[in-house]
Amino acid sequence: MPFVVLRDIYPFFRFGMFATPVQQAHYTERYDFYVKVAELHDWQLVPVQVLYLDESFFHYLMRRELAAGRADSLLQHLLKVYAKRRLPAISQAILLQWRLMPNGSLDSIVVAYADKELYK
Amino acid sequence: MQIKSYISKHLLSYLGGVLLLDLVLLCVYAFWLRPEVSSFLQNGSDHWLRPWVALFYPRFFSEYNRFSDAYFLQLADQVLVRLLLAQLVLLLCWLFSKHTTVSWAEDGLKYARFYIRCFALIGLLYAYDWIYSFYRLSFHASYYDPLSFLVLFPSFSFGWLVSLWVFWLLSSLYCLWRARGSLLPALLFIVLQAYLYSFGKLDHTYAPYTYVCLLIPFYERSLHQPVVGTALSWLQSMRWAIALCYVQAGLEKLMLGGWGWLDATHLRTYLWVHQRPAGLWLIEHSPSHLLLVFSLLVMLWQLSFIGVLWRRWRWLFLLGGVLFHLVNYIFLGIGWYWHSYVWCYVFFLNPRELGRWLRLYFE
Repeated sequence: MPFVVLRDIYPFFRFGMFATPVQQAHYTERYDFYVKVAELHDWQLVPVQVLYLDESFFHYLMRRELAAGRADSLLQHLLKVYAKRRLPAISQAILLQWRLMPNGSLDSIVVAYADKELYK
Repeated sequence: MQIKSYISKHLLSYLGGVLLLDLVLLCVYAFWLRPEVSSFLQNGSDHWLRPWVALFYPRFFSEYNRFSDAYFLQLADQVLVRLLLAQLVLLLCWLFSKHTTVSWAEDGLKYARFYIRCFALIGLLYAYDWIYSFYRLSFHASYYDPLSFLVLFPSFSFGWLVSLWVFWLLSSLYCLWRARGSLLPALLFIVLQAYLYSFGKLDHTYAPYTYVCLLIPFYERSLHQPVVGTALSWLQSMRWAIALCYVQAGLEKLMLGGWGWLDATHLRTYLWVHQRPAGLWLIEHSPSHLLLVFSLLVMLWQLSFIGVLWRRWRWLFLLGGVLFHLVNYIFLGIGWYWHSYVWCYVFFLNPRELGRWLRLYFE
């Protein structure tokens, strides 16, 4: 059934991973979480494992929430988890989308931003 | 002549009925549903198909920015093509099963305790890892959305999952010790996995073991039944289910990617997405035709994995499988020996053969 209807019907699976034709896609994306620590000026990449996420789940969540127009609330959620880790306080945070085009060019877009005011 | 004898009048009338139903479906799709799908793709916000798409293909809403309408229309067409293909495969399997006796299914009776113990051991191997997964997910509980039957279960909470996990652990240990009682750990695995996937992302990391969980209680039960052949066919069903995981992965690549696989961009993009040092090195240093050959080899190997069901060929596919998961681990950071697919290979072996291999290795 999952093979025919093109979706998982738990506990039966569809095996579509790595099958999506990237040539037909306008772009293929991946996401990163960057923060600016209060005392420092440079942006730092935060490994998503620090936020109790694995990479594939983080990318899935980002893609889904971005499509639903909820990237800002996802960033707020990630900041709350970050705060629980007792890591250095941050002044700004962004979620960055990298887009790889079929011709090999790469660009990036800030899809969510939070500063001190928004970080509650 | 032999085939003709199997295609009895009864089968012919059944096939005629299915063919007629297919023809009706084809007409309904071509003349009514396909134009409706087209219209939904062009101006879908208020279209009556929108809730149906949300129900049957929720990925559409996160993918429609990335793909053209033609791609989604092709997916809709494929549902019908896949239905016809599945029917054809079922028919061929039926004919094949009438003509082939699978001699090595005899392991199913002789080594039943070994297979049940292997099932319990694989469960235990993942047990420690999952409790950490649940701990991490507990920080993201606001994104919990119960999957299928989980609506009937308590909501996601770390305490509840620890309780289930402890039961899973104990029941797996009992199963390992006594070589029986596979039903409870099998059910608990499926329930716990459902919790793991109730955050939207569902992948096939544990698919072969899940199918083993669905079948092994029937296998164990059939061992105590007077009809000898039943246990053999349950073991053989597990082997089919494991092999078909690979074949379906290959089929998806073939059907979705199509000729796209004859282009190095495909593998290059996936290597970039996974950002592993070896993968990034390969993008930089490998000529395009080498990436193309890798892609084709993977697809052909997955499609041919059904060959593992033939006793004399299985070593080729099992060793190929270990190599495949090793390469995936090096370049994409997925799997290797810890991958549940590799552990499920034990259902294609028997303890005598395994002992011989281990002796060769250590002596």
